[in-house]
Amino acid sequence: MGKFLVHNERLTNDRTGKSFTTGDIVTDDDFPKYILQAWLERGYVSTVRDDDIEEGDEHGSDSLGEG
Amino acid sequence: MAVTASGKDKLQRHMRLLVGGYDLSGDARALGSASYDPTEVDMTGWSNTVMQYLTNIPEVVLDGFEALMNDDTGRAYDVLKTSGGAANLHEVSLLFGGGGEPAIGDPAFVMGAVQLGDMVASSDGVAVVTANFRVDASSVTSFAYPHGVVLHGNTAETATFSSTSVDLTNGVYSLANGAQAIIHVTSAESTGTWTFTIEDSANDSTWASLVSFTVDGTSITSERVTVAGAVDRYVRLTGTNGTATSCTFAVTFAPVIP
Repeated sequence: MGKFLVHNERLTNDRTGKSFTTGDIVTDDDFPKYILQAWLERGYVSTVRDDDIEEGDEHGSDSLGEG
Repeated sequence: MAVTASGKDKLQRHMRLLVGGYDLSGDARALGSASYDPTEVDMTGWSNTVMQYLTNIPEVVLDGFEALMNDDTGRAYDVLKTSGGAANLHEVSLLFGGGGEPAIGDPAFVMGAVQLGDMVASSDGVAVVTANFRVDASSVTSFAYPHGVVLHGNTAETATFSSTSVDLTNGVYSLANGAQAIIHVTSAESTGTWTFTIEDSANDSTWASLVSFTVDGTSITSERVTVAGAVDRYVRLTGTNGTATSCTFAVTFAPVIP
């Protein structure tokens, strides 16, 4: 399903104990696909391409490349 | 796990009225009504054989709250004696404890209110103050349904927490049209500041921030916040404070019914 940029103050998965904030990158390893789809529609996350992401951006870093 | 709605167990002694961050229940004597009352429009035509009506815009009312004329700081007379202007604007939450102190999932009446005055009188040999509330036009700019739930009873937290969730589909709630929520901080934190956030979830497991309060727990106060658009089935309150000592507060939440 790809990778998603977080636009929400806090996204939490109680089952894994992981929590993400604005600027983090999440995948369907972090949340169920249907949840990510719903959040996509509500603007809590947006899709990003692999070449948008600088090395080290995933899971908690806060910057995107120029793409 | 989410709690379920309480049943046939709502006693007056477990009702709590919070006004602007003050719990007036210790002085409370009577409540006239707390109501959501759509006005009626007579739609009966010449050839109809029965009177017909449609509902028009509703009025939200909390009337006839009567309390002992307690003039100590933060008690009924001190809070409800009107001085005009902004002092008459309150966030009001009426909590209905199910078999005990109001707790997560119990019903609540949620209202951004303006107090329309006070009346001091004598009742059963004691001096009482009576107040009536209507929707505050200066802060409530969209339709706000008052019947909701307790997200946090008026109890203390001493460390970062995530509360038990509430399943909103246990009631009659529509979840597509936003919501309002009120926090009442009734005893302030002395160490650090709190961040209070309401989260929602479609599956009671993965959570997103829905709305945060500006109130940080460091003073006795209240705040009403609103949400536009969809709310997921489950909601809960989180509070973060890495250096907390103790903060006592209540939060009520009401989805909008169109």
